[in-house]
Amino acid sequence: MSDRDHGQCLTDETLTEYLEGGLEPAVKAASEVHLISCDECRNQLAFFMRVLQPDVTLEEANSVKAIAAQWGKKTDNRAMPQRKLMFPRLLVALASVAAVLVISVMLVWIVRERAAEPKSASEVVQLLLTQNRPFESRMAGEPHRPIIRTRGSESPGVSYSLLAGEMTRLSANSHEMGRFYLLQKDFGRAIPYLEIAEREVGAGAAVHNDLGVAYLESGNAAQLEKAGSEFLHALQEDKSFAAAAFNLALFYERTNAGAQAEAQWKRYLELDANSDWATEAWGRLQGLSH
Amino acid sequence: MPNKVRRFRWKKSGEMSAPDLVRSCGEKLTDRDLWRQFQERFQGLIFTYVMRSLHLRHIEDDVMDIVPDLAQEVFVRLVQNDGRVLRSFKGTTEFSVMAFLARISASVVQDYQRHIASDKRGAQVIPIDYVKAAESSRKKSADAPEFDYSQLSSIVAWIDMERVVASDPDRKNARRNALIFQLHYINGFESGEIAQFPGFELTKSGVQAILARLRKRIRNER
Repeated sequence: MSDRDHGQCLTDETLTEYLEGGLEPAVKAASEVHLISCDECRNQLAFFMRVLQPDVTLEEANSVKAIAAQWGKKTDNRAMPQRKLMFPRLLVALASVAAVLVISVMLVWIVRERAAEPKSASEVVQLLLTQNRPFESRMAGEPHRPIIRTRGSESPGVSYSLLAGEMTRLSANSHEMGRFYLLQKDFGRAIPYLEIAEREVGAGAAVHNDLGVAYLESGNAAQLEKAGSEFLHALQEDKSFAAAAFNLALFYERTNAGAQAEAQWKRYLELDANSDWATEAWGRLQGLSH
Repeated sequence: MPNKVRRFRWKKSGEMSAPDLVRSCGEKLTDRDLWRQFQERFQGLIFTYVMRSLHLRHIEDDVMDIVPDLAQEVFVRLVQNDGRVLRSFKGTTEFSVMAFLARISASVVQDYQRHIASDKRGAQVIPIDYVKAAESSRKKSADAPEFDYSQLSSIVAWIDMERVVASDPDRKNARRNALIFQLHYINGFESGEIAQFPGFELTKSGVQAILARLRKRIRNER
């Protein structure tokens, strides 16, 4: 049956609208003509019928419960409810002293044993940035490292999938998640997070700069122009924000606006004349002048 | 379906309708309260759809670890490109929200399967014949005593569906009835499972009546 000429196959949207009963009568009739002669589309319809079964089995319910608990542990370990105890005051006081002692010992141990571990999502990102420079442009707060051309985004010894769980555990916000995916060059995930961060109240120069970097490095020509706007926006928020000034010069270079690039590199060097980033800017300015 | 324990929860009195909640989230991507409601109402549904899609694609390893990651990807798809997918939602019924979330969940799982298949350079790709065989080997349904599923492919190949349609006196619904016949005998759906979908516009007994009528006609035509 499936090798007959039965016209164009149905989209997932048409299949689910068929199940919903939302198709126009003519489209519905045409879909049925196709479905009874195309095994592939009928199997896809069957797939959605199984996924959409309204009844949940006991096994599914238990699995969903376990998954939700796992998800909740990762994302909601901040709000642990406190139990109200009815102990006499003296007992409470003694318990408090004991607790302070235990916590002090634990803190000493934690400080000694885990001093090198990041304690927040922003520290995770910062730690990764000290190990790897993902691209020419400069993320907010990124320390200078020489550019090393590599094919992949994964640094040796860095398991991003494990770190993604750590970011969730540390309650990373949209900006931090965006930066986390950006340094992996996962633009498909980074841009949505950064766009959300940009719309949040109080989004500062760093957010606009990082969103600009994502647009600039994504390789998507349609988003290139938006990169320039974001760098300008960052400089409006903070005219001494060096990373945005650096990136704006880079943006002009990439859009073949030579004169503007040269002027912007000079402006950058007025902001920062001594760092390693300044040395790189000097090199680029000289490259443009020759 | 065995061991049915419950149906999906929908809205409580006073809550926003599911389609309105989806649309509102698309319009206000940073509204924490709306997204908390979205998560409360639809998170379990997304987990279930991702889990079922993995199962139907025969991905059984480490499911409990994979589902949260894929569910997170579903949320990313909803909000990316300024919430384009959410804003494109035009549904008006609770079912349309279920279908919308099922499509995205299924698409995420499909991409995941492609990804692992490419990682393993095709070693784990499941041939379509295997999937079809698995479909056909589903256990015999209670309301189809006449057929042995091991003989189904030959029987169905023998039946000319065009002739079934052409000879159906119910002209208006002839193609729908033929489709129901195939979904029952080839894809293994029980009458009640088919009747749950509003698109077929039938009750369980309505589906059973159609199957009985078509069976009788095919038997008489042999």
